[in-house]
Amino acid sequence: MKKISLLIIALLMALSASAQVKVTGRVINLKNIPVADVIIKCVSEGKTLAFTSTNAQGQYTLELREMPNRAVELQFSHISYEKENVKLTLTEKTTEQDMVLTDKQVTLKEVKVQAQPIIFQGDTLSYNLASFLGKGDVTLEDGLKRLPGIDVTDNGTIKYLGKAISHFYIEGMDMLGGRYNLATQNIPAEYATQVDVMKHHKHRKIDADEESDDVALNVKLSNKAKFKPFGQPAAGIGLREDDPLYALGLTGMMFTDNFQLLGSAKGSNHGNFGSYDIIDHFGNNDISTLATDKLGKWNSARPPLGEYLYQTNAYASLNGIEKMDSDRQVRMNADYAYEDYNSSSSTNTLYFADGQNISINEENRPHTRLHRPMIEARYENNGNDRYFMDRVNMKAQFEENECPVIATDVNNQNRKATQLAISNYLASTVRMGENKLSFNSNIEFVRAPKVCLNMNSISQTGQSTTITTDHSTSFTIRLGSKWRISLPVNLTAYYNMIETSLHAPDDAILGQRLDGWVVTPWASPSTDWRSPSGKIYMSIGANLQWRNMMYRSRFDDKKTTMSELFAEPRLSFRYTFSGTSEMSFHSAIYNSVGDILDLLTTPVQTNYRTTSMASGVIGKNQVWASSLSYTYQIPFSYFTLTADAGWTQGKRNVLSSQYVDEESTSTASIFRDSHTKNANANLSISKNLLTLSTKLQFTASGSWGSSESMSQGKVVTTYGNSYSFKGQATVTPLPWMEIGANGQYSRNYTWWTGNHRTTDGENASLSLSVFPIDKIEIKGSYDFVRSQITDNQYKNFSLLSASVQYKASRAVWKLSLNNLLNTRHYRYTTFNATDRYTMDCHLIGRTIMLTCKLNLVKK
Amino acid sequence: MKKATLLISALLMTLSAMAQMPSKEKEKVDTLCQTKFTAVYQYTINTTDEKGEAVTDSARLALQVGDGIWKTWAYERYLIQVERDEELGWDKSYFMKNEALMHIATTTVGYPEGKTIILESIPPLRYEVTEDTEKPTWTIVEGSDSVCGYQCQKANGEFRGKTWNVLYTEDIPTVAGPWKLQGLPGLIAFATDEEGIHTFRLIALYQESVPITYSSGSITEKFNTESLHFEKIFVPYGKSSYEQMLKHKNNVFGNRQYLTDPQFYMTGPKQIVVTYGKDENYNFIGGLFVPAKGHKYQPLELK
Repeated sequence: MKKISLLIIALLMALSASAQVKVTGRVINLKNIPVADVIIKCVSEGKTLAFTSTNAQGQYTLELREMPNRAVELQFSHISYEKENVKLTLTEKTTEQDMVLTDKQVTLKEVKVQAQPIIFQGDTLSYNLASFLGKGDVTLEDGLKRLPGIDVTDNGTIKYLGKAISHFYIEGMDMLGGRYNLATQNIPAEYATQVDVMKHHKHRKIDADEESDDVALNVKLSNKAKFKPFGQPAAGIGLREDDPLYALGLTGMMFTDNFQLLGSAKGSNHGNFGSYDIIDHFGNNDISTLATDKLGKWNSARPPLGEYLYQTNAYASLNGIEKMDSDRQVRMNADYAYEDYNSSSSTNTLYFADGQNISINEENRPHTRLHRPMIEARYENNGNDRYFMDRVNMKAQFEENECPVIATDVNNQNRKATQLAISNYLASTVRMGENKLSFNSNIEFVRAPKVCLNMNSISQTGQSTTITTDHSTSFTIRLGSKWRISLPVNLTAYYNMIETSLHAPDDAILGQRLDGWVVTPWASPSTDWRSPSGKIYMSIGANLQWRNMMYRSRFDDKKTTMSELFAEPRLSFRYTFSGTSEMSFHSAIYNSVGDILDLLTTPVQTNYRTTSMASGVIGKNQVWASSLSYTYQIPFSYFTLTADAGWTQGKRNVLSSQYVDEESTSTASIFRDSHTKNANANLSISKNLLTLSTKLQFTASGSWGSSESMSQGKVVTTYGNSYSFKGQATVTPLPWMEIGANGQYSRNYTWWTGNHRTTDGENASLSLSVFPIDKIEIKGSYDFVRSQITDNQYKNFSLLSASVQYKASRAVWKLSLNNLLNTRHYRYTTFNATDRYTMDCHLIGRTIMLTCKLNLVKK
Repeated sequence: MKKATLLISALLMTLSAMAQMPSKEKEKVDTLCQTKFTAVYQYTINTTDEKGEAVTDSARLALQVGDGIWKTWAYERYLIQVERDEELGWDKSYFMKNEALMHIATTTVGYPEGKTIILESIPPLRYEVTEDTEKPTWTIVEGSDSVCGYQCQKANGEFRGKTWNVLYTEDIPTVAGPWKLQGLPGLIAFATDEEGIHTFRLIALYQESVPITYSSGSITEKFNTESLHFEKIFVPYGKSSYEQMLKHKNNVFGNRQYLTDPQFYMTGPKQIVVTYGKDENYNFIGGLFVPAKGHKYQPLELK
């Protein structure tokens, strides 16, 4: 049986072989050299019957399954030779067909590699900046604004999906801390090749196993910007309302693997030139003292749009960081800033005053001069098993402020203030097996030696000192790989002193000196759990504070003490649907307790018509805040969506009270409970269309709230709700044209007993950039605002600006023409509970400015 | 003595870290022929990470086609070879990490004649595998599509245990294709296996004449304890047969332990440089990157 089967198979194979037709041959070129890899195709009526290719000897064998019943075409093709065709009528089982090919290079349609715009790896999104840059982009900030999911606010704050970044690194090194505008405003966009957005960022390596909601940015530079110093001198001249303008700046940088240096000095009497460069986005700019908080400087109203400050500013900044090894770094930052600015505005304030509707008209002309020196040194050892950081900071602020106010009379006001702050912050953590032990210590000395306000013939002075010591230690215990218990313990102690003195002609001097201590030991036990898949994260904990206050009024020897325990439970929950989609929920109760200023019961005059007196009762405020947020992104579709909603309700043991008449305004706090409630929701969508170089953004937000206050001795509950929609688009419809457009609509409702008010506002802006050649950008921008002033009165406002920019290989020239319509006033209305403020701000007139920024780097 | 040893170790580690970027000085390079054109492919693998979650790994490959010889390797290595380093732009060593994660080899078809040489990496060593050139068995099927602006014809074929669906273009008359896929009457512009795990897609094409090179080993610097100087020495790659390599890769990369501990199989002292900066997900061992966590191994050939 087996033999029969084998015989049948052999017969079938023989029959099959007999049906095959072979074409063989050899392919050579004109030099008689065999050609390898020539494709030989047998085609009949457009259909490929068989194909093969030549071997290294130029030989081929083409096999057809059956004899074709008509003539076939044999095609010989090769990338280096002319294509040849031969018609054959196959009658034999084996046919031989040789071929000689003629040299000819086949021309291919070239397609260039496009850099991958985004690489998505774990929690890091890496943007190839060049894929997003527009032709007119000059600085790194211009480039960052183009990236999907990233927003840069007017003062340079970088946000990713609505969250401000916690760290800004250049090549992995944090040289500038919160002063990252120095980099974003001064590093040319073309020098940055890659921007990494690191979600759930942990700056401290020892915290690698901790949860984090932080977002950090890391900028990688091209070789052009590395290993050699480069500078960016900038200069400008111009004319504004017949006054000459100037601008001068020099920035030098150097970036190597282990050392970075950035020095910058700028000065100008025009607009924002350099004034934003040394803003500290992490809040370390300002010094807050008790005396200057109480006796603050006078400003004019700020219009939402348009230049209104006549300012002269200058700064010098030197920053350096040295990486000693992969863990240890030393950083030095030193700044000096000078600002001189003045403005003017008129305000009509309509105080509800329990239905009396008292109207006050004022014109303010504030003029301020500030000097701000700062120096900081920081050492960090960021190891996997240990962390140590010590930061010493010294800063001062010297202020001079004048603000004449024209009301029914001319009121002269001037103010001088000096503030000093010295601090040392130390943080350390060590890993002990699976557990961690931390110790942090912050010691800060803040002093305002003298704050002096002169208002007509009245003089108000103040001085204050605050010494803060804050020491904490924490211990983290791991219970398995997913459970963890943390027990931070903290001791905070403040010494506060404030002294005020009010001199009014023909009146006795009214003064008070208070000093004392606040000592707060607290513990914050918490536990967190992560699911084995890492998708669910939960944390529950509570702050337990024991707040002890001991204050004494020196003039009347009155003592105020408080000793109270506060509990602040909190809950966090996060669910990660995937690497691109996440939902989180936070809920917590917060307590805040008033400070020494609540005991300042002696009148303090803060401007020519306003005095304030505290209740003498320590204010206590309890807030319950909850928020739910959802983020979704499709990196390779350049789409991001964030949605969040929040609820906050609070209770204070004091009520803000205001009494107004034609001559004066008195504010005070009354010992009576007050309540606030607020609900809000926001939605933000961003989409980039890379093929059109287009970025689209849409945001919508709505809120509802209620608050209580006292006006003319009567309690008023005010309710309000508002919503707004905003759309932004940057479109490049043609390679030589870019259009930017945005529009916003907002509407507010406010109501209280027997009264209600509705206001709405619309604004739109349009910009058009044209690039006649790649290096030249001609740009025009137009802003339009329609705002409601009173119930039936609307005001339209327009601003037109233009610029021409020329980007040469080593210089960027820019001619700016601002406020071409010479619009000099901006009127708008705002509300505070029941009172209405209608502001008329003076704007800077038509301005022309020519600037040049040079790139001093070897090409 | 201990101090001197430590110093030498530190120096060696420094040199090793400096040697992260491939360059002509670090390899013994021979020129095989000049290219007729270079095709660039986006190569993706759909797989899972150590937690079992779906991930898509992606890298770019350069196919350099010359007369009778063609070579597929990392596009970035090609950029370095043709001295277009500036185009790397990004993290210069990023592609080496992708090579490690995706087990990308250098495949040279037609050298020597009738043979294919594959340079494989199983850290900390690199191996040279020589095999007889084997073509997939192709069937041209109905259907056409356009890839990268080229009109393409559909075909499918069997190769070493996998079925491949491809698109090839007769506008580029070559039998070459990415990796070991070849033998169609036109350049293979798109190829995906039947499971949709591996995909090669043509994304760019340069008509140019640049050398196709072959490297038989690496040149490393070694500290001579007698002369107290560093000396350059040539270290040839280890040799392996196709069958041995297939088994070795399945045993190492296909092992369950590899996902959570990609160094599980290494024994003895290892010279490790932990890459620092913001990316600490890779170790640098013996001149090769090793990911801290692996992705599930998806072999291109099963038998």
